[in-house]
Amino acid sequence: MEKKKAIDSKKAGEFLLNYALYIILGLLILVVIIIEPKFLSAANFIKILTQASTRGILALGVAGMIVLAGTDLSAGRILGCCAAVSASLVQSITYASRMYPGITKDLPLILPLMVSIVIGILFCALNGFGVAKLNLHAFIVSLGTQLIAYGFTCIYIDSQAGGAQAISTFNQKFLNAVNGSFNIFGFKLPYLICYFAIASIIMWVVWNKTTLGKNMFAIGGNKEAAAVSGVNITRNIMGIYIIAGVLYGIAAFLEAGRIQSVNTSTGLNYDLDAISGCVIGGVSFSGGVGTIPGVIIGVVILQVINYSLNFLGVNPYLQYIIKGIIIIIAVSIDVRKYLSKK
Amino acid sequence: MSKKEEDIQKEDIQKEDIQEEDVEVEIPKRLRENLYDRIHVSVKTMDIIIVILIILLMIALVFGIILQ
Repeated sequence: MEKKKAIDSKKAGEFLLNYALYIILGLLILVVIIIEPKFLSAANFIKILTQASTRGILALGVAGMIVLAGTDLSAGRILGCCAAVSASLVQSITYASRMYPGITKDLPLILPLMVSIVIGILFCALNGFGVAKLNLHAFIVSLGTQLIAYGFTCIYIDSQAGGAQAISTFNQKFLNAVNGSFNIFGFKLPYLICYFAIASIIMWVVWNKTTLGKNMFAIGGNKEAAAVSGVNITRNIMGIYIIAGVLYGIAAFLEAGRIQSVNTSTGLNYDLDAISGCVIGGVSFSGGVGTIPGVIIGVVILQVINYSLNFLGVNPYLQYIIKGIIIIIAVSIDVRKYLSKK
Repeated sequence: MSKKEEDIQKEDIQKEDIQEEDVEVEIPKRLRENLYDRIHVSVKTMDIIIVILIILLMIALVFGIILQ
């Protein structure tokens, strides 16, 4: 009887430790709901989802790299660079201080989107080449790429006729395409959420129904064993990085429209938010473990935390500390799960 | 060659085969190492670390709410 009690308390302890983060975050949200019951409203949830959309698309790209047992510290800065270039191409033609006064007609939106995607792919291909071909650690390569992307962004924004000013005042067509919404029986569903949903479905298919996705998990789980079983490591890693580049480009294009003003600090710490979302959502740094629904839930939880902390009026500097501790707890729980399985 | 000598030879060949199999098994074990294998701490230590971190998080949250 006593032995059974001891086993039960041990199991309860393990449960509490494994789900500690979710329990604390649940309590935090509960406190916010008690203070402001409107927090639970559908409109508020839509608002949170809209804010999480662009970071969610970014996180879908970063998640692939974490599954490959790597990471991407350059995601935020690449997003900033892509956003700056695409934003400069969608400025209103009536705006006197626009970056390209030579553009006298609104460009078709597909053009700035494609430019953004190409820039994202170029940076990610650089990261992928370093990891796949030169066997460098993703941490080091992406750290270098982060600085390169930031440098390019600063040079690009500084090259405006009026100096280093924010790129803003976009054409209405672009703003409608990003910030518009479907009206379903009086209920407004923002396009941003739809874009995020489409990107998530496509990535779910890539991860679960394609050879590339299966190879990605194999490489992340055991690179050498995957190579021995005939998986082309370089090609598959490059594939995952290029897909991430496409996602970064799309996220940047949408983010430019969402925030409606792009400057050198656009994208700052977005990579950390994306990584945190992935880790909270169960994507393991050990590689080979992770799911798309997990990433989505992680990103939404993180956005809810951001919203709750702002709502509770927590000091912004302290918010960094809190988010940092949350990441470390998530990774520690992941390590614990791995060690207890061994 | 006598039957006894033949048996001894067969045993030697079998032993060599077993040794070769052992070597083949050892390689994947070594290759299975990943990032978390480099962490040499017990589960109990990890439990203590997690509890400390949770306490730190709670303190930071309470501090954040109080020092608005």
